Amino acid sequence: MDREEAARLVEQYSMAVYRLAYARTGNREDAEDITQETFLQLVRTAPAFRDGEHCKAWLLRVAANCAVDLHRSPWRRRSVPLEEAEQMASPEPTVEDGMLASILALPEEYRVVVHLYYYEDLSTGEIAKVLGKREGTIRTRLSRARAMLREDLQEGETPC
Amino acid sequence: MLKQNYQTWMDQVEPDKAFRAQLVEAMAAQFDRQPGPRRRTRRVGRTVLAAAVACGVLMVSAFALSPTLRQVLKGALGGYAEYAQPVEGTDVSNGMELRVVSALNGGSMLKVYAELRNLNGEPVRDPLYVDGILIPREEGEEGAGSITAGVEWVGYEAESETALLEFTTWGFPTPIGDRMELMAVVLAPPGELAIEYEWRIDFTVEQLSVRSIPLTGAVSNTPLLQADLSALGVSIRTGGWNTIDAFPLTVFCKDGRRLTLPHGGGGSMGDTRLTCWEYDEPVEPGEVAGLALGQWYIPLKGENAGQGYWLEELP
Repeated sequence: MDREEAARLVEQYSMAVYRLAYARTGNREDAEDITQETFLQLVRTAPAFRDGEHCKAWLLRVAANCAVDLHRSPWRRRSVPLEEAEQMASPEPTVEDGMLASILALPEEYRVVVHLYYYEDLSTGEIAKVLGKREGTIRTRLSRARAMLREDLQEGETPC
Repeated sequence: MLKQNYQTWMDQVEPDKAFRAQLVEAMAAQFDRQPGPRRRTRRVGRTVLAAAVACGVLMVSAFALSPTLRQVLKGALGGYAEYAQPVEGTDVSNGMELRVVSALNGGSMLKVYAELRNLNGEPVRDPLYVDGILIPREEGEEGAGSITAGVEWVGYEAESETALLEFTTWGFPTPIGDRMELMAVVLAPPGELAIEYEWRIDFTVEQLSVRSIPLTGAVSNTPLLQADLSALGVSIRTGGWNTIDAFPLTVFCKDGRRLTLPHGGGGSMGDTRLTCWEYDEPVEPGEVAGLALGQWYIPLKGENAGQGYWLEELP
C-alpha cells in the first residue's frame, strides 16, 4: 500500500468509520483513536475485498471491536459524559434537538445499533454480522433503544 | 423524523483534515515497517513453562493437539498450565474444523483455546480474521449474556497446518456456571458482509474457586458493589454506567507481595458494570489480603472486609 492508496481509502471510508466510533463514544478523541487503529489494522492484515461495500463492512466491524477494546485500555482518556456531548469543543455539532440528545444518552451498545440502522441503513441481519452478534440480539437492542427513546421523549408512538 | 434529524446531525460529524492527513501518513509508515503480508501473530509463550509442571497434567483433551502445539499451549499458559482443564467439542464449517481443547474458567474471566485446521489439509488462510462470542449456558438461563471475546493466534504448526487460537472474555457476572457455548465466525474476504465460517461449540469447563466479597463505598462517584477473586484475576462490580477501568489495581498478598495490575476492562450487564484485572501468574484468592483502587484501599480480611477507605499515600 502506498501513500496514494492509503489516501484513497481514508477519503472513501474514514467518515463512516469515524462516525460509527463517535456514535459509540460521543468523544472526538476516542473516535480518532478508534479510526486510526481501524485503518492501521487494515494495513497490518491486508485483507482482500471483493468490492467497496465489503471493505466498508470490514472496517465498520473492526471499528466496532476497537471501540470495545478501548474500554479495556487502562490508559485511555476518560470519555466525556454523554450528557455533555453537546458541549464538545468546535467543530463538534451541537445537539439542540431533543431526540438527538436522547439518542446520545442511550447506552453505548444501543447507540451503535441505532447508528448502523438509521445512518448506515443496514438491516438487522447485516448489523448482526458487522457486530458479531445474533440478529435477535440486534433486534432486542433496537427495540429497547426505541422504547427508551419513547420514554425519554414522553411520547406514546414509535419515533420512527 | 428521527432518522432524518439523526442523519442531518451526524452528517456534521467528521474528522478534520489534519487528522485525516496524519492517518494517511501513519498508514504509509505502518506499511513501510512491514516486510510484506503477514499472519496475525502474537506472543508464543508469555512465560516459559517451569520444568516442574508435570508432564501428566491433563490441560488439553487427549484427542487434540500435536506435541508441538501442546508445547506452544504450555508456553502460552505459563503458570496457569496446572489450572487449565481439558475440554472437548468440535464443529465443522465449510471444511474448516474448530476444536476446543483447553479452558480456564475464572468466573468473570474465561479463556478458551481451540485448534483450527482445514480438513482437506490446506493451510489455514492467511490472514484470517476470527471473532468469537462466549455464551454462558447455565441451565434455565438461556441467553444469560454473551460477550464478544478477543481472539489471538497463539501459534501455528506448519506440519499439520493447524492454528492454535485463544479466546478471552472478561466481564461475566458470577457465577456463570460450567456450561459454555463458543460461537466463532470468520468474515469472508470475498463476499459482501458474508460469513465464510461459523462454528458453534458447546462444552463444559468447571469454574475455578471464586472468592466474593461485598463492598461498600464509592470511587469517582461510582458505587462499589462486590469484588470477585479467582486465580486468574480480580473483578469489581460497580453500579451505574461509569467505569473504574482507568484505575490501576494493587493487590496486597498475605505474604507481603504487592502486585500492580494495569489492565482494567470489562463490560456492562444491566445497571451494573464489571471491571476486571488479569494476573500475569496465578494468585490463589485466599492469598489476597487487600486491594487498592488508586488510593482507595479495600481490606479483604477481618471484620472490616470490604469496607474501603482512602489511604494517605499511594500503595
